[in-house]
Amino acid sequence: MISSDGYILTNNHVINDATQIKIKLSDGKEYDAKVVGRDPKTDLALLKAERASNLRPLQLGDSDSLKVGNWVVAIGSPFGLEQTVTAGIVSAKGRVIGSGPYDNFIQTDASINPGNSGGPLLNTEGQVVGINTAIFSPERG
Amino acid sequence: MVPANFSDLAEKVRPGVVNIQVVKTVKNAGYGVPFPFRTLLVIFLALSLMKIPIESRSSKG
Repeated sequence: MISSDGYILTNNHVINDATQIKIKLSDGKEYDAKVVGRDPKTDLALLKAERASNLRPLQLGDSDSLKVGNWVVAIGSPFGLEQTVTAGIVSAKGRVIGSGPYDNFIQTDASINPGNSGGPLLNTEGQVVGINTAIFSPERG
Repeated sequence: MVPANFSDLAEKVRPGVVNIQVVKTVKNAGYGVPFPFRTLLVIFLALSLMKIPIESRSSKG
């Protein structure tokens, strides 16, 4: 979430073809949400939680200033397990994984699994420096 | 240097992380197979399933 009135940045593939979207906060509050904009090429979408106010947004950081070896934290819902926190380092930058025209990914060894998509990758200041988008594994990616 | 822990950081950012639940409608229940081929596929699968006990019996014998 990037604003106190409920604008949410996530992956486009998370909400693609959705007919209904609900947002659940860490305190259990739920809001209906609508898509404000989406860009399949960058796999980004902007949502708005309806009738939301006085929320606590995350700060956006500077991913350009990330260095290989920096600690990062991922938060998401892998396998539906909400608010799961995992930590790792920036393993590489500028990765090309054959995913669209803007192929320039941060690689991390923080544990990322199905369900982490659209969740934030944070630096040690708690600022968003990436959005967890894809995983590589022998079984699924 | 390895951070001692991430608990303060996790506590600080948790309110800003949301869980997104979506409802999606599947438009094509035929798994993308056009109508005439779908019928043939169903017949093929049915015949395949009917053959299974015969083959397993012969392999055991």
